[in-house]
Amino acid sequence: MTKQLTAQEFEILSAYLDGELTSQEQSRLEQSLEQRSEMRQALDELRRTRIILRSATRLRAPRNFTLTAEMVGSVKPARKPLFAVNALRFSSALASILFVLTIIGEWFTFSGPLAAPVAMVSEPASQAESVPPEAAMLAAPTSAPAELRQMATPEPSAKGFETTPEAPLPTAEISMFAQPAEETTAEAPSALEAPLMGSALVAETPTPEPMAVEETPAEMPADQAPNLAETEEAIALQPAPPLSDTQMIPTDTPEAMAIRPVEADRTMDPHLPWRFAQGLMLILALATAAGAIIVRQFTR
Amino acid sequence: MDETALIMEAKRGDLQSFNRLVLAYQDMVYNQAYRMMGEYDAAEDATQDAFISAFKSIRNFRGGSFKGWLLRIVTNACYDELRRRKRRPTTPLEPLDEEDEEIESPHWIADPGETPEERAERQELSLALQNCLNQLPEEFKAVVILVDLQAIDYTEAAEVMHLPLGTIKSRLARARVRLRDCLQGFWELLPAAFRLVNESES
Repeated sequence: MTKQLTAQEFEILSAYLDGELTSQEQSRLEQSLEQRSEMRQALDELRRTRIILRSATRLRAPRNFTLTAEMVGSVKPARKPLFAVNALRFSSALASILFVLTIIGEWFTFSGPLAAPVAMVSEPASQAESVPPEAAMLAAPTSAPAELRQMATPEPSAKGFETTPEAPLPTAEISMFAQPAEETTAEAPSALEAPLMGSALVAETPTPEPMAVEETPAEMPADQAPNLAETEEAIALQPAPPLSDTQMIPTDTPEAMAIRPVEADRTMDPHLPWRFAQGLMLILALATAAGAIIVRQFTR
Repeated sequence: MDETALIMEAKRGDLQSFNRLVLAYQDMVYNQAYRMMGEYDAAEDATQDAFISAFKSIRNFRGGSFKGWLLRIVTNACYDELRRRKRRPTTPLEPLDEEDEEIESPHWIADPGETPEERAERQELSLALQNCLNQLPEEFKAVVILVDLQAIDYTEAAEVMHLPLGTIKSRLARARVRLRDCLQGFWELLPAAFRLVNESES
């Protein structure tokens, strides 16, 4: 009876009808067919079934199924605008990400933990630069201390020095500065013979000195003010250099005033590319987003 | 223009080229749909949907058998419709006789060379076969239609169904056994088929 056949045996019979058995499987099956009548009957019934299936009427399409533009119209024209919308959306997202990255980048560069040492370095530098004119002015008091005390006292206060014991502080600095001044006097006349170099000298020569000058006010007490008299006498012998310096003072003080804006410009400069990039990215992000919305609305 | 060139053109959005492919394959696709659905109207809808779907997704066609790719699309379209019907059963619109069988057969089935008796037998065979197919689980039905009615080999059927070869073999055998059981009562109505069997056995 065919009912006794297993699902696997039916599978082998089915595959045999299609010629899908290996030669080994086929010879094994043919042996079984010789021995088992239910196997032969099952094969016979399956063969008939297969023939009925394979002889089934092949229908012809009742009509043509060709497509019209209307049928696929919603797809094809939509492809290009869809691509454009997607491209604009992507650009907008990219520009937004870049915008955020520029903000983060700027923050890390100027305000972040990495930026702190840079700020620390730039401040002493600015102080060092701001001091030379002061030192140059302080060189002048050697010849005209009375005048310069008046001039010098507002200067430190203007530069935000906290320790501004008005008279004593300049004197302390003078005492320090006066000694190198003596040494430089040997060279100074030759240098000062070319007055055009004045501004360059002010910018260059005093710079090493302020480092010492700055330290001294802290160490040198205000009581040392009397030393001024000695130093004045010592330096009074050399009127020329102070005079040349005093000539430079009026030129220096505007410079000293001008240095700050210059410094401010220098610190602002690095921000400019960041700001420019931020503005550009923001405009791009908004423009492409608006473009995507417009294109989508027009295509609907 | 050969099939590959037409496919390339269709991929570029050329509807005319695609329609030439439609004309070449519409009988095959319609047959698959009809045997799967068991209804003419549903078969038409599935065929049309399959071609629209094929055109929309032709960019995803990565070579190989275009025929197999189309058969897969139409088979999936039929699966979707049959599953939708299971969720929302509807009454058929076709006029049915007392035995719940369609009264009219479409004119394109008729063979002008047949005698009225032969035509009657043929129509009865067709109806019997379709009734038996309708009773099969979808997975078995799809495989037996592909292999026995569309006459594609096991390997191609496995590609169309995205199934292992062994699964195709076992599903085909199970489908044939079920169809054999279903067709038992119709043997005497199938003299031509019997003759063929006897000839092959002799």
